[in-house]
Amino acid sequence: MADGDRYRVHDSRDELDSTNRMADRGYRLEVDVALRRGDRHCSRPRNPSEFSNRNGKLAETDRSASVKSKHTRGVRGEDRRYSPSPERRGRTSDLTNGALTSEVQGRKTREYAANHVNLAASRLMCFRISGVPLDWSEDDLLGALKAIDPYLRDEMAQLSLYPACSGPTQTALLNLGTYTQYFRALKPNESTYESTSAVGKTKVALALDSHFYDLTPLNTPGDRIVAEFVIFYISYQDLVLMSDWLQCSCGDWPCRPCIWVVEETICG
Amino acid sequence: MWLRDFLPQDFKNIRIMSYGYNSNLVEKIVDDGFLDYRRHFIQMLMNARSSAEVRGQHF
Repeated sequence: MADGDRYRVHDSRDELDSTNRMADRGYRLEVDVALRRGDRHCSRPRNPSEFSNRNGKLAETDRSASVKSKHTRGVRGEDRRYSPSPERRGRTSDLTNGALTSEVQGRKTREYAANHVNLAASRLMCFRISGVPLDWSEDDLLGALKAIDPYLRDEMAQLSLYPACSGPTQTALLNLGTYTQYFRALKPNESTYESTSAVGKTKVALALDSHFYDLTPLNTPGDRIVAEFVIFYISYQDLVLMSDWLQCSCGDWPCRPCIWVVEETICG
Repeated sequence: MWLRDFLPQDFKNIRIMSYGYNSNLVEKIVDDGFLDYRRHFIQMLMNARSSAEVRGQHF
């Protein structure tokens, strides 16, 4: 197969499979940017590299896939052009070893996509889980979350469980380095209620959110509380304003203003 | 980064919380002003203190 070979795609349902087959063989989809400029559905020309992930493949759960589907709308199959990936350019005949290696990589990528795990988006995500019963441990809660989302794995989740600010419950903070499709689908400004139960525990309704409105506990205080420390933050702004001791609302401790600015929201 | 790692571990008798509010306040989409936001925060804090006293935690 020579450089610059063109492949016609006659059925839009086969676009993804066709692209993945070509990526398996070491070819990368190129998009004619000049053609895109005339597409009324396209807000701006896209770099061809945005249409392929690190393996040169397109996955349904990848963000690039949504970009691709949006920007290939109305583009005829004749405009789709494949070129050798950088790995392929250095090889002369790779229909044996290279193709097998690419096939294995492609299979792994499809397995991850099948698991609904978005590896490309590795940004930390933090969720708040309210309404956890007092007798639940972190393991109980993790088991209940797995019942909600079967694709959640132990190594993905970092849980912190604290007594709720008010009410006889606990509040958990769930930190996900790699998050699943379920948690990606949670709406940022809304709470989601899930009825679940841990092993040997009664069924409860848990509230999951990522907006962190109102008070959220961040530690387990002792019996005698001598100070309160409240972190104010504005959601969806990469800014965290941290107050000092609550002299402003309580009047007992000296007020020393301080502001911390960090890169992300509640997770840091 | 994980915010918990920045919190003090040596002080056992302090309570650390976060308070978030809808950033739509900034965009003036909702009618609630910052005065309501402040009142809401104070009310939430009072509720938290009452709940802590019920649990046997004293100020």
